[in-house]
Amino acid sequence: MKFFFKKKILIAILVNCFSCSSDLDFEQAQILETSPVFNISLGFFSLNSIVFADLSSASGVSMTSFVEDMEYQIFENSILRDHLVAQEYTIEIANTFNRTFEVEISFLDRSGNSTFTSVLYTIEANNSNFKEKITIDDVETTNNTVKNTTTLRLEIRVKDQSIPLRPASVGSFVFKSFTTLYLSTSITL
Amino acid sequence: MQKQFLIALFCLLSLGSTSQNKPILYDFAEIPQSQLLNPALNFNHKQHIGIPLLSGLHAELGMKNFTVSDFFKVTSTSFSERLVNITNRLSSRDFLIVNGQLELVNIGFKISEKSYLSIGVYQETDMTLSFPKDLVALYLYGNEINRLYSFSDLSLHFQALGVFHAGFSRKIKENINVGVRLKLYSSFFQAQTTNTGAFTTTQGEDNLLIHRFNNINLNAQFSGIKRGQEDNIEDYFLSRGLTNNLGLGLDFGFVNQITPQLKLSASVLDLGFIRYSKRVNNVTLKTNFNFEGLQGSFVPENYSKSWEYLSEEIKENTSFEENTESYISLRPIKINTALKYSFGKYRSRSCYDYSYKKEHANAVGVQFFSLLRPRGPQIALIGFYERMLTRNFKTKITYTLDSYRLSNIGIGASRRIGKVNIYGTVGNLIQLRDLSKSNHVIAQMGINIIND
Repeated sequence: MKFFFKKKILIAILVNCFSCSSDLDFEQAQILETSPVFNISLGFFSLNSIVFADLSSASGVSMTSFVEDMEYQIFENSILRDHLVAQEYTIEIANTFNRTFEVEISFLDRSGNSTFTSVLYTIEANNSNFKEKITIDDVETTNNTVKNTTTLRLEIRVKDQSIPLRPASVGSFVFKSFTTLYLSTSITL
Repeated sequence: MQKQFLIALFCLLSLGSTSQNKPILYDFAEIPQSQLLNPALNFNHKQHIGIPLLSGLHAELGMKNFTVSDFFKVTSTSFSERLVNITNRLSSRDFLIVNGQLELVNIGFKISEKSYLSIGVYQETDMTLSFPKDLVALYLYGNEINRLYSFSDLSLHFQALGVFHAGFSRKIKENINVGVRLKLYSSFFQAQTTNTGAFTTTQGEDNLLIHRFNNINLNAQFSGIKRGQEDNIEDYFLSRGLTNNLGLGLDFGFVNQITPQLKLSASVLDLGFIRYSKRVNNVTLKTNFNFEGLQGSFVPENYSKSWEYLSEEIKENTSFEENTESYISLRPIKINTALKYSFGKYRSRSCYDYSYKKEHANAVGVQFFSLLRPRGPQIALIGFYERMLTRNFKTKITYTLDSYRLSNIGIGASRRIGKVNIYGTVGNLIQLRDLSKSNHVIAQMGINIIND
């Protein structure tokens, strides 16, 4: 009886120790989908009245608008081109001049054609806390042409062009930006 | 008889289906291979010969805080979602370990009343991969603002080598044994990475964000295979014979029989190095720069911080070097200590001199095991109970607290049939019912011929 009892215990241990494995599917690891979001610093500048004066003297006339074509090579990266689903531009401007400005941002391809609707902001005098976001959704479909962007054109205009800025004008115009890239990747392993 | 058959069957099934924990083998049942864990351990037989290729088989797969099932179980959740969940759960202190040993030769013989000599050859493959949480998160989620992405988390060590060894144990006092084992390492292949530095995206000064690539130093060292040989690795290794990278190592051990019932033992293993000078390939990438964006100057053709400026800055602050300089790699050092108390009624055991030695049927004790890994020590504290069921059949049950679990129960058995000794132990019994959900699988078995 005693041995029979021990035998049962041993059989129970034996059964317990049989190794097995629950259902596994290694095939499912063939596709890895991710949705990373990258924040990348973009253009920035600071304009004061001296810069305006320098630019004015270089051209020989008083200037009331300036254009900056910023090279934009992000889309030369094939990963971004292939996997970008949406993009956001975060812009902050601090205008401490006692003048109102207009800022126009255009997205241009290599031939100078527009790749996305340009945006126009009015920055009121002494507005040092202007914040705006440009959102481009549906990059894979409707807004596919945005991936051809090679230049970001920034045009800054004094709104009342009849009165140009003078070197003695007090204040500054500070522009800061970054872009947020929303990707969707599907990699076959 | 039936009882013994069942117990033997249990052991055989355990050997076939599961695994063995080396701490279980430590100072267990006078198995010749236990001398590899402490060269001073008593081996009171005339000689032993391990069955070639079968005398010592060891396999270990350790996954700290994750299992195979976590990745590959069949559920409604996608693999990608699961990977994200696992990444959230794991830390850079978690790791994957694969270790395998195959003993080719192991023989030993008594050279005097007080001394025993053993020599052998085994092959070992060892890999440690830490979980590079920051870099995986960067890939899965992108760069979060104000988060530090450390490159030091990316750590891989892989080594495949043969070990030729000769050990000598000697009784220097009636109650004290000491032992030493000299090892010659012959490495087939080695790869290791040493990475430092970090990447951050934080609030900038001139712009909204600044990206800092802080003292990033990525260093990978490979040895054992040349470029272009990857497609035919097997032939490549076979054709090279013993022209591998060589190294030297030592094992030390002592045993102090404090009282007839109380025994203290300790060992330090693999105190050595391998010098890699053949077929070496070192790759180093260093960079250190900040990027705050492109600064507009509003003067045509005079961009102060254009893409060209950025590209130049990256080039100036980045270096890529590839060389074949030799380097030295230290072996992971293992430390074993044990305190064992024997008690209970005596059982007789045959010895090499045809006499019979009396031995207590039971023993309890504690062991400490430590393996110094690149990412920190892997430690285990083990409590054990040994039971001599018959004169030729010993068992050992262990309870281990280690890096993987706090409830690791293991069992070992050693059976002597005539001159044949068969041994095996099983680690992590609780998780054996479903191997895919086990985060630590460890197996060991062997067959020896022992002459008394």
